[in-house]
Amino acid sequence: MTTQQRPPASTDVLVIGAGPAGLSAAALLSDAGVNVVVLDENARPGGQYYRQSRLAGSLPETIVGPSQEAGRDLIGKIKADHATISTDTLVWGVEDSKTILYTQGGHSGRISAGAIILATGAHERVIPFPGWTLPGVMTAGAAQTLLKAQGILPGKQVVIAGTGPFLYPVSTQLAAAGAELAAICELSRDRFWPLRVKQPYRHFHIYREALGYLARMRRLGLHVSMGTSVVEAVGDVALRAVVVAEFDAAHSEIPGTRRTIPADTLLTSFSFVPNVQIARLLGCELRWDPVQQAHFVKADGQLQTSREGVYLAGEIAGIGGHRVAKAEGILAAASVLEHLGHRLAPEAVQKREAASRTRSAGRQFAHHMLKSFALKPKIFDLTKPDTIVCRCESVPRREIDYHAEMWDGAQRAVKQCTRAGMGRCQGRMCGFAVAQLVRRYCAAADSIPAPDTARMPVKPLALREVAPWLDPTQGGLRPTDQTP
Amino acid sequence: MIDLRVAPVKRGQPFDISVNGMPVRAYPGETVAGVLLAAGMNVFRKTRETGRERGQFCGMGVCYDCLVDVDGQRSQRACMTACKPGMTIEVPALSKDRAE
Ligand SMILES: Cc1cc2nc3c(=O)[nH]c(=O)nc-3n(C[C@H](O)[C@H](O)[C@H](O)COP(=O)(O)OP(=O)(O)OC[C@H]3O[C@@H](n4cnc5c(N)ncnc54)[C@H](O)[C@@H]3O)c2cc1C
Ligand code: FES
Repeated sequence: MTTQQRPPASTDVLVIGAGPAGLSAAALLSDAGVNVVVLDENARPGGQYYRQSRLAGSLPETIVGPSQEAGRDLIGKIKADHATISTDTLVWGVEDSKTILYTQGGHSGRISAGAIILATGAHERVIPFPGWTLPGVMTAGAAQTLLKAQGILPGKQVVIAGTGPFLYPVSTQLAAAGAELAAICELSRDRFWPLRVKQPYRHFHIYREALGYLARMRRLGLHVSMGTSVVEAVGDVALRAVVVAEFDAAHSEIPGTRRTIPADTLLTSFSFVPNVQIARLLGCELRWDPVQQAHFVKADGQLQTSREGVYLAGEIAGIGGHRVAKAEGILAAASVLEHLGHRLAPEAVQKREAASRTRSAGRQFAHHMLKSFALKPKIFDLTKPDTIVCRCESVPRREIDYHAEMWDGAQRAVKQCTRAGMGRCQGRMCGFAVAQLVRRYCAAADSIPAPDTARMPVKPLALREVAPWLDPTQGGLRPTDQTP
Repeated sequence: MIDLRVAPVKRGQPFDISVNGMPVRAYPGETVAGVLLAAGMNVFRKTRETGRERGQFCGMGVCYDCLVDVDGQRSQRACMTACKPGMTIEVPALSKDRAE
C-alpha cells in the first residue's frame, strides 16, 4: 500500500479520513477487491487514536500504550493492490455529490468516486478562561500528538484540566515519558459513573482498558483531583502558573478553594467536537445532540447519510471512541459494497455482525459516559467579560454578550457583528463556546443553535490552490448550493 | 540547552534548520512546532488585534494559532509543517514589531 502519493482522478470508493473508522473501512473494501482511496490531511495514517510516529522509530508501548501498534496492524491489513492512502492531503471542497476537491503539496485536484465514506473524526472542545491564549496552554490532544508522533514533551511541569476519560491516557502517557504532572483536575465529582452503566457485561473491553489506565496511574504515582478545574492561566509572555479551584456538581466554583500551581504547560480537555464541514458541503443533513450540544451527521441504519452514496463512520456520527469508530468503518464499508452491487463474502458478513454488536454496545456506553460528563451551564462563568473567546479574531466575551443581548440570541447576527467564529479556524475552536454564550439570550431556553454554514475552502488555502475554482462574478468561490 | 525530546525512540540523522538566523537542530519527521517546543521556544507570534503572544494550541492543524514563516511563505502552520534540511523559519514573536 502506498501513502503520500497523488490520488487518481477516480476510484470506486473514496474514504475521507484515515483514523480508525476510515482505515477499517479501507481494509474491508480492499479485501473485497474494490478500489479505494483514503485521503487524510495528516502526514501519517492513523487519525487520533492510532496516531503514528512521524520519526524513524516509535516510542515503546510502555509510554504510548497499545494504540500505535493496533494502528500499524490495521494499516497492514489494507491490501496494497486495491488501496491508495494519500496523506498530507486536505479535502477542502466538493464539486458535486460524487466529486471532491483536495490539495496536496500546494496543488489542488479533484477525485470522483462511486461512493464516499466520510470518516473525518473530531477535534477537541475548548472552554475559554482567563489566560487561555498564553503560549504553554494547549489542548490535551496537542500534547498527546506531540508525544506520540514526535516523542517530544510539551513542557516540564504540566497541569491537566478538563473532564472525561481522555484525561487518563494523556496523563499516563506524559508521566511515563518523564513529564512532571503537577496536577490532574477532573471537573466532575462523580467517581462512580461506570457502576451505573446498564448491562455492564457488554462492556468488558472498556472496563479492562479503564482498569489498565488506573493501574498505570497508581504505578506512576498520579492522583486525580475530582471536582477541580482550572480557573485562570497566569503569565506575562508565556504560562508561569495555573490557578485551580474546586467546583460543585452544578459546575459552580466553590469560593475560597483557589490555589496556584507553578507550571509551564497547561493541557485542557473538555470532550470533542465533530468535523462536519465536508458533510455539510455535500449537503448531508445533521442531527442535534442535546447531551454534547453539537450537530452530528445524520445517518440511517446502513450508515448512509441523507445523500445517496455518501456514507459515514466514526466520531462524526457521535462521539463513541475508537472501538465504535473501527466497527462503524466495517459497517459502512459493508453497506457500500452492497450499494455498489457486490455480494458480501461470508467472512465479511461475520465481520459485519461482530461490528454491529461492538457498535451498539459502544454507543450505549458512550451515551452513558457523555451524559455523566456533560457540562453544566455554570461552567461558562469561567469565561470572564474580558476573556478572549474567539482566538482568531481576539473577541472578548463582553462583545459577544453585548451583541447577543441586542440581537436576542441570534447566532448569525452576533457572529457578523463581532466576527467571532469568522477567523482562520472558521469557528472550529470557539464555535461551541460562542453558541452556548449566545443562546442564553434566546427567549426559548431550549433553542437549538443553527449549524454553521460550511464554506469552501474549509481551511485557509493559498490563492493558487483555489484559483481554478474561483468565480470572478461571485467575488469568491463558486457556490455549491447543496446545504439543506 | 533545553531539549524536551524523550529518549527511547530512533530518530535518524539530525540536521539544522534556521530559526530567525540561528541554527536549531531537527530530526527527520519533526514538525516546525515540534522543533521549537523541544528547544523550549513556545512563543510563536503576537496577534494583530491585541499584540498578545500565541503558540501551539491544538497541535493538529485546526486553530491556526501556531503561524510562522517557512522559507519565505508567511503564516504557515508550524504544527503541520515538516522540517527539511536547510529550511528557514521566521518566528514572528522573535522579530521586532511583527504582529500576525
Ligand atoms: C486528541 C484526541 C485524542 C483522542 N484519544 C482517544 C483515546 O485515547 N481513546 C478513545 O477511545 N478515543 C480517543 N479520541 C476520540 C477519537 O477521536 C476516536 O476514538 C477515534 O480516533 C475516532 O476515529 P475516527 O476515525 O472517527 O476519527 P479520527 O481518528 O479523528 O480521524 C479522522 C481523520 O480525518 C482526517 N480529516 C478530517 N477532515 C479532513 C479533511 N477535510 N481532509 C483530509 N483529512 C481530514 C483527520 O486528519 C483525521 O486523521 C481522541 C480524540 C482526539 C481529538
Ligand atoms: S497549533 Fe493549532 S493549527 Fe497549529
